[in-house]
Amino acid sequence: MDADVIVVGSGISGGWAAKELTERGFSVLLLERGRDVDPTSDYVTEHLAPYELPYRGFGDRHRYQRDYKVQSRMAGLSDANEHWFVNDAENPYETAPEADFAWIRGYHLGGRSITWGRASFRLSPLNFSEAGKDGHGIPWPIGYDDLAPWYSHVERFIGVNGDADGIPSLPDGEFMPPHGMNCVEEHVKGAVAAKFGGRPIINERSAVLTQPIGDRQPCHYCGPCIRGCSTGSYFSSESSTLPAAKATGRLKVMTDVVVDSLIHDPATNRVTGVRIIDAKSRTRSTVSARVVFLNASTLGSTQILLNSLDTQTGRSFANRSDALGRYLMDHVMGPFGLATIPGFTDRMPMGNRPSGIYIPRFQNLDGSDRQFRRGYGYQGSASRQMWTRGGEGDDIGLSLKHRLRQPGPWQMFIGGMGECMPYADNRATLSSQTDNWGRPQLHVEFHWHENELAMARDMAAEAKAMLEAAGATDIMVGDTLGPGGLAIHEMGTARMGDDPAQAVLNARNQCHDAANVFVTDGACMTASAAQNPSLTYMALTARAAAFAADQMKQGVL
Amino acid sequence: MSSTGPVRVNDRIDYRQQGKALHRRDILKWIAAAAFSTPAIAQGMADHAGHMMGGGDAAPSVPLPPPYTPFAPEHHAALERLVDLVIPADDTPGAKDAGVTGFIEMMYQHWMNDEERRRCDAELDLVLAAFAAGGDPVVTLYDGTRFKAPTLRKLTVYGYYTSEIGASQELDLNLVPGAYDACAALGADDKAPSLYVWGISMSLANGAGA
Repeated sequence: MDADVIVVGSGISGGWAAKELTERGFSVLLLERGRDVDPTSDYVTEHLAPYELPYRGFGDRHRYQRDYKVQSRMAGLSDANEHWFVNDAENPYETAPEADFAWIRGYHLGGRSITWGRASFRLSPLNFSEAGKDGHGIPWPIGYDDLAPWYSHVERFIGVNGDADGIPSLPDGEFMPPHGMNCVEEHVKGAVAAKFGGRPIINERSAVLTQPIGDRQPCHYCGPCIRGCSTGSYFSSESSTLPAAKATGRLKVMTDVVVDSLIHDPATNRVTGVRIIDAKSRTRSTVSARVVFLNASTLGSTQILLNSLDTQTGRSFANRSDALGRYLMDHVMGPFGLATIPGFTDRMPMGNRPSGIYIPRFQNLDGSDRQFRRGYGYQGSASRQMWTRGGEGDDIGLSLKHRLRQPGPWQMFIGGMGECMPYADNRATLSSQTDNWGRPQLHVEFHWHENELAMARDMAAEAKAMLEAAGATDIMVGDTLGPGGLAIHEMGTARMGDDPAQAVLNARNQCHDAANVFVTDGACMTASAAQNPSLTYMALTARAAAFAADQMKQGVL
Repeated sequence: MSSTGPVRVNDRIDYRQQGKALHRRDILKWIAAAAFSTPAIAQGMADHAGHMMGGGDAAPSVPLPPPYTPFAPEHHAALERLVDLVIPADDTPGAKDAGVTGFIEMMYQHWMNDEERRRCDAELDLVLAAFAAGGDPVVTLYDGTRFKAPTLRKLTVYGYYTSEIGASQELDLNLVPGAYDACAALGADDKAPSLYVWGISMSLANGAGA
């Protein structure tokens, strides 16, 4: 045995698996397919000015079109952050033109924990109870009460700022004080509450420190978190879980190791180890452990499971349900409202707040009041226009220069994020094409259905109504959805459920078909809810790790 | 500047010396004020990487702007005159001294697509003609109220405010504010911040106004 537990993936959930298992006395071998990241030296663009970047932040556009075809579909890929995203040319996957899916990835130690948006919301009792009861999906095998203590455990460790808002559809947690709303956000909040029967607008709950935790420092408000944070002010594997796991002395990390598949023993229906490939030399070998945690990201974990065969059937050992790869979800994101808010011109935020406001779901809370099922929330913020507004217009000379010396009008932006239903035909399968390491590529097909399209239209209409209520001018709204994947909340494809004929994982994130395999990243999600999902992945991981540790102590695993 | 060979946008201002020294110093000041323990935590974070095989890639580094070939002398001179008309010097330097000419030449060679280059060529021809016609260029560069070179105007704005001069002298560049005030009072002399923390994008798809 190389360790008690092998954890595949070092991102948001993998770091948590490593931390919880090592702290419970078990040795962990953590496998990361990408490069090592040293937070003392590898956040190379942190605090750089625009003129210190080769393209001033506009990015190497022609190289992106060639090598970052998918990643560059994400708004904001630039020379300030491109090193956190995969080279698509070197990491191909297949999709279909009529069912396009944009797979946004980061292959390096810490994964997308370095680049995530940090919004940290609990799922609510309603989210757990409504799945499977309205003709969409299957029931969750757990309820809110099962996860609530683990949400608290995670929130206390990572540090989440926010308010106790007392909103049943968005349960409160363990919060540090929020950064706070600016005066225009307060204005919009008041106007929306007055016009729409007390509809709340709250501070976004965000995994950024406003008070220190150990050596991690409060936010210094530099702004572009996506470049990495050497003060550990937001949660990442580097700032939080990996140092904790390391401190136990029971963590071994291997970087530049691609996992091919799990080694399944049909005699025992257990996994005995992991087939690995040196990312550089392509040398193949195996490592073994009592238990395997898959945290390779939703599609990464599913790709490994699909490629892990039961030698007796010649099919994936984990797919007797035929649910593996199916029910891929991504949040309904793209519809927005953007408008000018007149006034407040003697005020301006100082410092760059790493979060914004949140409008919790207000649809279908008590029965059904919409043309779609479930619901959505909005994230947003108010800010003043800055010099880029000078790119428009025809004025030149000192009048232009002096105009741009001052901030421009306030603008309010709100962008919807809504629940996506699980559909069997939104699906990842293995292709006949192989990747650079000889593994079958993933083939991903995804399309929106009528529920998501109706939700998107409603997001735009409600955004317009709320901005109008706030006295906004020049209101722009959008109601279109791009390809799936661009919310970067891909989930499902190895869902939890009590029925082994319908689900890949049980209530403890344990494979129905192999008791010593756990999947606790986004693949496990039974339903997507509308909330940003990372906090839930962390809580599910901590809960599953505690269960696995107990089972190992009892000798069951 | 002559077109004798490839140059880099920031050759003349050597931002890698000046800029980094300045900003690192500011950051260090703030770190001291906050009794900040980066080295300890960062060392702890760094220690965990125990390679059993392979070995990590070299750490990424930030590349320099790519070398570019300036426009032919006549076009280069016209562009330099134009950018300083769009953003002239007053109590702070204008676009010419901020190196915007070189920025546009670099973007022309390395960033634009063929259609955008054609538009820049056409606009530069109009600018040359306007200058050749004599008279006040602030008049001859317009068709009525419409500026004749909207793409070059937009590139000038983006190049100026992302330059060291535009970002840190003309506007306020505070890379590590260290505090947040949600709605601070704005004084009459307070300049706008220059940093776009969510990233900036520039569309030249339909010229200015796009």
